[in-house]
Parts: sequence; structure tokens; C-alpha cells
Amino acid sequence: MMRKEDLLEQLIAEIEKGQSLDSISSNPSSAVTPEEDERQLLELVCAIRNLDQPQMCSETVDLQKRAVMNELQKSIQPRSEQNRVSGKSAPVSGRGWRWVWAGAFAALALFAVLVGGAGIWLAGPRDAHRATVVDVTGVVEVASSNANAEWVLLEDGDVVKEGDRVRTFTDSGAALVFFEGSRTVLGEDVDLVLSTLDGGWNKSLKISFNQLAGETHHSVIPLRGQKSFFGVVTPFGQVNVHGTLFGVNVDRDKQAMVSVDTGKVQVVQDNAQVYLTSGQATTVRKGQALEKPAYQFSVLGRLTSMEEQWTVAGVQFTVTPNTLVLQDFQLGDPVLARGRILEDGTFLADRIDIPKNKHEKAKLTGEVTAVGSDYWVIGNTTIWLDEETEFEGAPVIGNVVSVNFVVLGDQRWVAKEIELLDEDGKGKAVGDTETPEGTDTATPEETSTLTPSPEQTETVVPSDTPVPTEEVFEYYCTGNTDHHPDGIKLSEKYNVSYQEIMGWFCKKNGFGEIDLVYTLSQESGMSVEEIFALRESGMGWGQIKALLDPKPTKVPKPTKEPKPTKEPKEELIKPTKKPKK
Amino acid sequence: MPVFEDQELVLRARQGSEIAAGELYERYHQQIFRYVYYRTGNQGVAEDITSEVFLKMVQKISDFQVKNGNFQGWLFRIAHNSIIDYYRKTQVHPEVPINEDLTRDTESVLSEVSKKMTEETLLKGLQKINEDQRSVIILRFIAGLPIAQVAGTLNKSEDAVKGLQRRGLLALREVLDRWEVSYDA
Repeated sequence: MMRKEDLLEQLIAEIEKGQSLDSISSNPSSAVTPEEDERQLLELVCAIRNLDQPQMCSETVDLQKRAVMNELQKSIQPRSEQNRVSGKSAPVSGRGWRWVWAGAFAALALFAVLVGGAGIWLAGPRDAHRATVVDVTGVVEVASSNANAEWVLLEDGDVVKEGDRVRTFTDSGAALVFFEGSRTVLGEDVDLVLSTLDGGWNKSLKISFNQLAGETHHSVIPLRGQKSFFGVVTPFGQVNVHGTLFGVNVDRDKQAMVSVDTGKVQVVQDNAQVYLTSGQATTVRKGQALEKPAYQFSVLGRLTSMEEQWTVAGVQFTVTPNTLVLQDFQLGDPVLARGRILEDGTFLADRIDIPKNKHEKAKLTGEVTAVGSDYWVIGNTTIWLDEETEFEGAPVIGNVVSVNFVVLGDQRWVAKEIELLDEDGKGKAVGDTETPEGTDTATPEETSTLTPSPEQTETVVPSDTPVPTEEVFEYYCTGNTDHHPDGIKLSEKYNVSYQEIMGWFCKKNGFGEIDLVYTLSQESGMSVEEIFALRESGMGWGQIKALLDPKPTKVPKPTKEPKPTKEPKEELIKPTKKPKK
Repeated sequence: MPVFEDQELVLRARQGSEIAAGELYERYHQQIFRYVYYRTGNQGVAEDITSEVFLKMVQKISDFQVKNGNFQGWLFRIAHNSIIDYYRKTQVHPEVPINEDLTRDTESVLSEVSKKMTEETLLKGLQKINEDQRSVIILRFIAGLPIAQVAGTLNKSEDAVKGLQRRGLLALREVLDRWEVSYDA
């Protein structure tokens, strides 16, 4: 079963090799033949490729080429000059005392420059001590740390510095851009103090906010260096990150909500801490224990039920005494509810407010636990796909996704848009692979308790054996009599010959993959050869798993039973008519 | 001048060979120009950005990893980033949401576009589709980059690029159909 995207790419590759469209369509021996839809797309590809393309005029080309060649000389020259300067100096003659004095003077001057330079170096780049204010809307003000300081209006391009207090008013906002590119967006009614604003020449960053109120969103470039940190202190707890996208919403004297788009975030309250990964959120309340991280939901629409559960935009959720309800809502009122999806599938509201607009909207995040032909199961919830659904790539069980959806009259939840938040689904922080050095305090240690247990039994990634090197293949696959210990282990585990296991190994499959294939074969009844063939055809392990076990039998029962009303879709994008010729 | 591999030209340029730098320019300037042109839709802007790309190439040539790197992909990444910088500086947003714009300006566009696909029609059609899809189509079929290099340039997975490619072609086909532009052989 080949994906339509792969099929199209294969057909395009044939065209790129010089095959004509007609020969591809009519050749029965061809590996793939296009259907009408693909044929139309190929026609379009050919038409684009065959168009007369624009060109730069020859004078411009000549000018640019000369500029490039000149630029090369400019780039090379400073290095040559440097080399000349660093050449050995001539010895001082007995007659040249004045040159000695001059030399001593020069040495003193050099020393002074070095001391001054060291001071500047230690202080870090000038830009590290300030942030530039951009995208100002409405009224945004700053007051310096001085006790008698007055509030001053901020405009685009202004800078704020360490100790400054910044506030935004209703329907106002701004963004702060730090010297190494990280960015903080301030929503309306924000009140915060830039308690630390520092950094080093290696683009290390030291940022700490004291956020008293309002909602902020942070886009943090993976931190560099031992001393780097990026943290938000709220009245109820502290948030530390490495490199990630996350948001903090503080309701004065009540609670702070922390949500993560991508990456990993540590939330600390007194001596307790939790780690949030992509798509997750938690709420921190004064005097209460930290809430366990959970995936999020938000719904915007009119309130249609206020019984045991509230209903907005067709989505039912639970309201508890802990839920922060910011107005005295009545049935029919527009509301924006945000909260967490608990492990048992309960949608628990943390905050209910008046929305800024009245466009009905529903969104949730979660881990893909099953994939069907026209539905996915996200956590415990079945989400249907239709021809309007937009998403990129192929879903893999374990991916964390964000889904915008609508609830139809028949109670089916239909996705409008699905976005992949974290490809490996295990909450890998954005900075994890890019910051070899940890930070002093801000970086959470990677431990097995960081994330809510992601159902390891359902994971379809092969066991974590290292990829064998070419040398290992060569050693064990060229008639050597030594036996590979993993080969022996798997032959015993699956009661097959060592040679059979090594046969797959020598076709460049890792032992982890072989282990997975034999397990899948035992579970599904499909032969090992057929499963390897699926893999060779380009399918991911998640897709293979879904194919072999298309029903979500091993995941918790969906809260909304799928009620298929129509045949499974052949494709997810609405086909369009052939152009009139 | 004998035909050198890109890597060899890069090494020579690093040692100060103007001819090698000029050869790299000759080899790739049209591809880069076309990519930029279809992304910005403006000949003058495309020429300026192309010049900027090659100046950056020379300035950063010592950063390029000769041993493992793909020079063409590296150059397209510079071009891609230069386009983003251009839009950031000029505060112009390139994306026109397909559903909103199509219905509104169909009438006016219909009177302008040729009924046979031309470079101008394609340019107009591309402006109507999602930015990522547009980038993929231009890199893939106008610049002629293979999927892997498109993925590297746009910092996306190959699967994602294949998805964007298919959806981009479907969207473009829809636009051309609405305008009754034929593109058959």
C-alpha cells in the first residue's frame, strides 16, 4: 500500500529520468502506473518544467559575477594582512634605544587595551543587556527600576533593560526580542519585571522575568553555555526552559497556567517540580500541589449546557471549584474555556473567560494512539478526517499532535487541521540535541519520570539498538565463523535458525528492527518476509503497525464512539476537475 | 577551465581563486534567480537578492563543510533565508490565503491571464497557494532540486516535502482550472 505522495514522487522521478508521460501511462511493465488524478498532476509538472523560464540579462550577470570575484578578494585580504602582522619582528639593535622606549610604550598601551578588552569581554555584548521592543499595539509602558520612575509609553524600536517593569493594557501587546534571537510576546494586561537580562559573547543568554499578570508566549532559541538560563517566575511557581515554545498565563492572586507548544519545560513550585513536553499544560495554584502535566484543550463558542458538565461548541467538559470562572456566565453566552485532558479522558476546565471573538473553535493536543483509514485516535478521543482536513506527512503512533476540530451534528469530532508538535512523541526538547552543555540550574535533568507515562507497550519504534556500522556488517556477513550475540539471542527468542536472523541482518536491518518484525509477525500472522517488504516499500514502522492492527483495540476506549456514516476516503484532498482544454 | 566538482571549486575559492568563485556563480546563478523570482514575483528584487546570495556565499564560504556538505543545498538555504529577510525588512507578507482571495479576484485575474499556461500565469497561480507548497513546487520543478535537497533547504522531512508537493500541485491545478488555463501537452 503506497501513499499517494510517494506514488506521485515515484512517477515524477520517472519523468525526470526522461520518460514521457505517455510511455509511463501505457507501459504495462512499469512499476507504477498513474491514475487519472496523478496523470493530471504529472501533466502540470511537465508543463511547469517545459515553460520558458525568466533569465537575468547578460549585463547584470556580468556585473554580479565581477562583484562576487571582487568580494572574494576582500574576504581573503584581511587574512593575508593578519598573517603579515603576525610575522616575527626584527631584533632591537644596540643603537636603537628610542625604539626600545617606543616599544615599551606600545606594550603598556597594549596592556591597557587588553585589560579594558577583558572587562568588556566579561561584561558580555552590549546588546545582551537590553531587549528591543517590536510589534507594539495599543498602550504599552515601561518604568525603570528607579523608585520614583514614571511610566513611559513604548514604541517600536525602543529598548528595555534589566530591572525595567513593562505593562500592557487591554487590547494591547508587544514583543521583546533578545540579542541572540529569542523572543517573548506580551499579550494584553501583562505586568512583568525584567529581573535578569544578560548574556555572553558566545550567545549564552540569562533571562528571568517576574510575571505578575497576563499572558506571555516565549520562543527560546536553544540555550548555549553552562551558565545560560531562561525562566519565568510567577507568584505561584517558576518555569525554566532550555529552548522551546511555551506560554504562561497569570491570573493575579489566583493561578498560573503553563502550556508548551514544542520542547520541554520545567515547572517548579516550592520543592516540587514537573516537566511538560510538547502539547502539555499544567496549572499552578497557591497552596495547592502542582497539577500533573496533561495534554490540553480549548473551546470557543456559545455555552449550550451548564448541567453536571458544561458544553461549548459541542465539547463537554468538567467544571470544578478549582476552575477559574472569570464571569457569571449564562446559557447562550460566548465563552473561551481552556483546560487539560486527564488520563481517564476527562476534559477538565482550568479557566473560563470571555472570548475576544465569537468564531466557534475547538482545539486539543495529544498523542496519536491509533490510526485508521479515515480517523485517528488522539489520546482517548477519536478524531475523524474528511476531505477538508489538512495535515502534513504520515501519522505515526506516538506522535504528539495539535488538532483543530469541529463537532458535527452526529457528534463526530472532525479535524480541520492537524499539526505535528513533536515527531518522536516523547517530548524531546528543541534544545536537547543542540546544547551539548547543560545549564547550571535551569536545565531539567533527563529522567524517566519527566513525562506522563506514554504507554510504552504501544510504541512501535524498534528497540534502541545502535545502528551497526559497515565494519560490523562486513565482519559478520562475509563468512566469518564468529556468531553475533544479538543474532543468537533473537534466534533463540523466536525459535528460528541463527542463519535466518543473520540473513535479515546482512540485508542491513538492525537487530532492533528484526526483533520488531518477528514480534509483529507473531501478533498479526503476516510473514516476516511480507513485513520487511512493506518496510522496503518506504512505509514507516507506525504505518506498518497500523496496517497490521488497524483497529484501536489496544488503546483505551474512545470517549466518542466512531460512527462511520460513509465509506472510508480514498484520499484526503478533494479531487478537482480536469482543466477545460 | 576543466570541469571541477563543486567541492573542488569551493576549496579553490577559499584559497583566493576568483575564477573558481566566478565559476560557482556561473553554475548556479540562474537557478537561484528563478527560485527568488517565483518567490518574490519581481524581476528587480530577484536580481538584487540573487546578488546578495552570492556575496554571502563568498563571505561564508569558509563555513561550508566541504567534506559532508552539499554545496547546491547550502546555496539554496542562503537564498531561502535571504528571501525571508527580505519579507521581514519590507514587512510585505507573501502569502495569499487561497480560499479568501480566489473568489474575490477571479474576475479581474481571468481577464488578465492567458488561457495557455505561460511563465506569467504560473507566477500568478503560485501566488495563490500556500507559501510552503509554493516553495516546494519552485524548488522541485523550476530549480530542479531533488526531494532530499528541497527538504534540506526548507528544513523539513522528505515525507513532509512529498506531502507539500502533492498538495501544492493539487492547489495549483485548482487555481488554473478556475482561470480556465490549459496546461496539457
